[in-house]
Amino acid sequence: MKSPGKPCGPNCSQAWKEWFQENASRMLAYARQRSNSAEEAEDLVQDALIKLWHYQEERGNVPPDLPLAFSVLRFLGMDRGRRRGRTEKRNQKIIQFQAGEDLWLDIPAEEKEDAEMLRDEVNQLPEKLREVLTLKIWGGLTFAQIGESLGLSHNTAASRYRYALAQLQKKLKHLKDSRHG
Amino acid sequence: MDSSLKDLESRLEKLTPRGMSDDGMARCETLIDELAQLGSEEGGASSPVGWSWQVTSVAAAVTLLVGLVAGRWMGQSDVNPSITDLAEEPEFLSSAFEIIDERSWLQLDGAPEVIFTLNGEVREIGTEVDVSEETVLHRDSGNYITRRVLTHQPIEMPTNQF
Repeated sequence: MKSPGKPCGPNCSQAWKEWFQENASRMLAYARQRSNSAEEAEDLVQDALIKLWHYQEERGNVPPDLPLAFSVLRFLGMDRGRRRGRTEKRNQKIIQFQAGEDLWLDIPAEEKEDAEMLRDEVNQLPEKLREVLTLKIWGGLTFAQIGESLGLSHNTAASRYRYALAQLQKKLKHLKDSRHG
Repeated sequence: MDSSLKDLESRLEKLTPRGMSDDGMARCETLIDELAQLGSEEGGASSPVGWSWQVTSVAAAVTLLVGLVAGRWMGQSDVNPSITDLAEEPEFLSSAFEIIDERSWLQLDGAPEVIFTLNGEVREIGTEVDVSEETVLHRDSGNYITRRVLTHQPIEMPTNQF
């Protein structure tokens, strides 16, 4: 029989809110890799919050570690993908990214052209590479934590990250070369 | 890592992920308040990842009982009727099994093929496999049960590497 969790008082509720305020944009950035739109990503984050809450009830009602939060987001995203038809989702996502209608990264005011190019190339990366890149750069995780979140060894996480950077560098160089004739 | 990759890293860090909308933040904060009010009504024994614990328990119980009928575990040739009866009780299901490991990963099924579309686009077609695996321990017998679900998903995406 399930044992009841410890009731969550006002302090615990406040701790969760603070945790969420600190990590919401990180979670959303990752959720965007597993969803079609900003709205769907927000729904995914909300679903993850519920799952995490119930899981932490048996662990003193403390806010969770970030790798666990990303792991939950990943599984929920996969589940949605399965239910809705992954191919359709993926094609929609590619179209949206290519059309620039549904951007999830804002660019700095300076070096705008280069930053736009970089953002486009990030969106074109294969999903598995973009996932690791997102967790490292914008999720703030270590390779060990990324491995924990994605069920990979930290070496695999590190090599996917390096490969993502190398691919980006290569594509940017190609674009710059073609631009300059 | 060479300096050009470090430079690329710092340029990536300057791109800022968009935050939650005000409405989304407000909904989540309300949700936290509601969950706090609900307190322990819903319980919290389930794992946040993969299938719920009850679903896992039912699946594991079914698997175990099939094994018991076949006499593959515990060296028995007959099913103890009391086990069958007990397995239908939720209390038995949640206490008899302990989740040992659960993981999920994506893998490619073979090498992707490259095709040229009529409009001159180069696309890569392949099959991605979602693998979800759970291992549970049946406490009384000490037997481990692993359940693996493979979901094949066709993938198609533009490529410039061929």
